[in-house]
Amino acid sequence: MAKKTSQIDQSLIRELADLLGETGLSEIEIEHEGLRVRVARTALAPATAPPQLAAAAPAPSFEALAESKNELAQHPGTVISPMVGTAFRAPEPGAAPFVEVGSTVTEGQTVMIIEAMKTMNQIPTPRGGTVTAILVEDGQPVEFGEPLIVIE
Amino acid sequence: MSKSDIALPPGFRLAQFNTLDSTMSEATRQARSGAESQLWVWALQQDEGRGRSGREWESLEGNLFTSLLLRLDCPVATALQLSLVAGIAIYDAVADLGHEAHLSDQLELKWPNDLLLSGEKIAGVLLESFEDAGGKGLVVVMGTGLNLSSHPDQGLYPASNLARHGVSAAPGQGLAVLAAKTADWLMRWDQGKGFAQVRAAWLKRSLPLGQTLRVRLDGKELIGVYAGIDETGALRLDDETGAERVISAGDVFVTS
Repeated sequence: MAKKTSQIDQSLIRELADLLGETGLSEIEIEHEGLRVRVARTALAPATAPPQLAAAAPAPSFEALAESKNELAQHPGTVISPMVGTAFRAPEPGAAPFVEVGSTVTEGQTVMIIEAMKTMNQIPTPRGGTVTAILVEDGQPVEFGEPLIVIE
Repeated sequence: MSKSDIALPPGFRLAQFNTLDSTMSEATRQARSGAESQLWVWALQQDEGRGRSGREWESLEGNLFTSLLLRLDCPVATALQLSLVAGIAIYDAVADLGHEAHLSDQLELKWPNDLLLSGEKIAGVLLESFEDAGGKGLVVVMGTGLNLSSHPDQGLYPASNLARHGVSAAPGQGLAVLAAKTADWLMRWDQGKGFAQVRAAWLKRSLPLGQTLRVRLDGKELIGVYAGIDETGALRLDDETGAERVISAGDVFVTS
């Protein structure tokens, strides 16, 4: 049984990883028969890497993802969520996102809005640099302390 | 109406305009250019009044549009509690304005801060927070719209106004009462130290528990039985399986 589950996981993850590459999304999460799998593009590209190169980084495995999320939370360039809420990548629906992978940002710049309790909270960068990873989709629920964006 | 006609509680100041894009935008500009805390921004008219999720807040003259600029020392997660403080303040302000018409029996708060009169929305609140670039800490702008003499026909929710219920109040009068109630509840809240009292006061003014609510967020919908608010102020719903869902964002509808 355990073996079967692991086979399912692998093919599922592989399929999702392919989808991630095809669609250019930064993260995919699905729930299937009680099993929840999230595959995200979290590989840290060098600061000088153009966005295309970062996008071509190999999709990480399930275990690697959990590990990298923990590591990311410790990373000095990671913007973490200061609250439970819903993340928005643009100032309002249909507007251009605050930042994309590859954007240059300055310290204190707003990179995301998290809505909670009908309060729109502008989330600032802890430092300037280049956005190397965006870990949440527009409209995605986020937890307290969850990594949102990585800046190198 | 001139400035001298509006009596604000001690420590609060007023920036008054005939027309603004929106009081939220003006309060933000004021904060960015260094304005001190406790500034009320008031306009008789706004061209680009804002509601949740980029929606327009239709701003008909004769209604109240105002935003309060606050600078806080508490973490932003604590500042979110102001959402309930704002709801209580507008509830108490309208109860006061409609005292003679005994409106308070028909007033209810719908999470987190829509004010309903006989089930129809007459006031709404939107808050925005940001870190001041000058390192002066957290800024919260608390915007309130109150339908005094008219209301939009085609909003997201069924709406009404105070005049329809026999209460006539000028915007300046509404502002003065709202400012007094807000100052009172800000003091009780005390940057989060008094939140237990705020939470209890909010629940006392809330829609009755057990009603069916529909919550819409980003194209998804959730229906459940209203079970109040949790210890942070988030909305609690029991879904069809009986499981508790805690909701921090979304448009909430009362289903009849």
